[in-house]
Amino acid sequence: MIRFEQVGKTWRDGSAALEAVDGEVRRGEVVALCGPSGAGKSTLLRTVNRLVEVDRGRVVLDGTDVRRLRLDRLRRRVGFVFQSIDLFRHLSAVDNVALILRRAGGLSRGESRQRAELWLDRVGMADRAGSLPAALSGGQQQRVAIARAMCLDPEVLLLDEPTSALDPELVTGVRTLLRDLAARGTTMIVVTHEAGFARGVADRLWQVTNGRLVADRPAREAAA
Amino acid sequence: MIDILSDHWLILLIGQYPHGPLGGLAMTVIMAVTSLALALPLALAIAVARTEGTPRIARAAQIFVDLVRAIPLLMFVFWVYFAAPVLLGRPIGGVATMIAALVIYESSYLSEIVRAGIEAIPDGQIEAARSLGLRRWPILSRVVLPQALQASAPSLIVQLNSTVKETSLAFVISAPELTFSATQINAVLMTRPLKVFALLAAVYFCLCGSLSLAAGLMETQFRRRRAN
Repeated sequence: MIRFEQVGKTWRDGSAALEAVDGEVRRGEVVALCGPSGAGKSTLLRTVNRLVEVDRGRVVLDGTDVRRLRLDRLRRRVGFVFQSIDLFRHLSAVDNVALILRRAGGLSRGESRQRAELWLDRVGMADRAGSLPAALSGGQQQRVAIARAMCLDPEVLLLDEPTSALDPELVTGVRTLLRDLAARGTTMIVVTHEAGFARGVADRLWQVTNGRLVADRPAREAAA
Repeated sequence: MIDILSDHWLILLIGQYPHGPLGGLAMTVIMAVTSLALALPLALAIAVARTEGTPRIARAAQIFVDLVRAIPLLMFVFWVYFAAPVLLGRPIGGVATMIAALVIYESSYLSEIVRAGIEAIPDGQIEAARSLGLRRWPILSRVVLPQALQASAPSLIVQLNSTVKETSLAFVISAPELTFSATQINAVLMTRPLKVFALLAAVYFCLCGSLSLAAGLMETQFRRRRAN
């Protein structure tokens, strides 16, 4: 599904962010990227939808180098959820989702609204569909962000620290939602600092240190 | 002052209308609102050119803004007043002249307000839009500009306030606005210029004061929404 082949990235100041990363995420699998801050987890995640362009090696999605795919099409196939959530602040929850369906997915106004409502229902936010992001709690905002990232039925969902901006009591809801998505066969790569969260959601844990993938093990083993 | 107001309030309000052209406060408001309504799309284009355009386009937009801001409005009024008939081959009225001058002048100031609004949008908003597959134009029109305009709304009202005051320069080309009406009243009364112009100042104060109040309320509301 997703293959990292000798992926390398060096920043403009000469510091290496990624060094020869090799790894494969199979269809329907959930991989958690773990490691200390600055290890390169988020950078590796962002190479998949080309928010970060690799300097060396390549990232392959379903047999095709992601650089060969048209950027907007690639991003429709790969959803992304940010640590900072970043819902569009001027739009209600339902409009945040509907905007993507209409402008990136090409659906009509009525269809996009209907599907947006459906997705908000799936993430348990149907009753807050008309609320602006400022009126929602962090956990609620993250649920809307996940609905927004999932609304075009992407093949892959990338999540960059989806729970780190949330209060501990809100993490459980997001974890349950991700487990639910994983159970439906969504391929996911999750960057997380929280070992418990990683074990609770992921099939495999990748340990990233100093821009290198140093360990790849089943989540069950890590729990033991 | 009250006696002047009670005798001449209609001239201050609508000028000679319906026996002559519309003027007075009504024309002042029409000129200010029309100028801003026409200047705003131009200002958006300039602001977008400066923030999103190629280096050459951004530079051209910046030169326009710098040039306009370095020249007094009265020069634009004269320039349009004398040059437009030569360029168009026919004379244009005082009101149209003033509106044209204000559109050029205000577009430059408004573009700076909108540009500040665009630059205040957190990078994360744009990165999120890009990562979700939105292309450049939808990002600009659906994510960036609505937020930039929302954030700029109080400053845009302040600019409307300034435009209202700037319309008084239309007096020099005999466009029938509020100051022009006051000079007509003064010409009729002849002996009470201080009271007439104090009354004129009071009318401007009420109009601009309410706009400032509206801008203040809008800003407070905006900050409250952001804080929530």
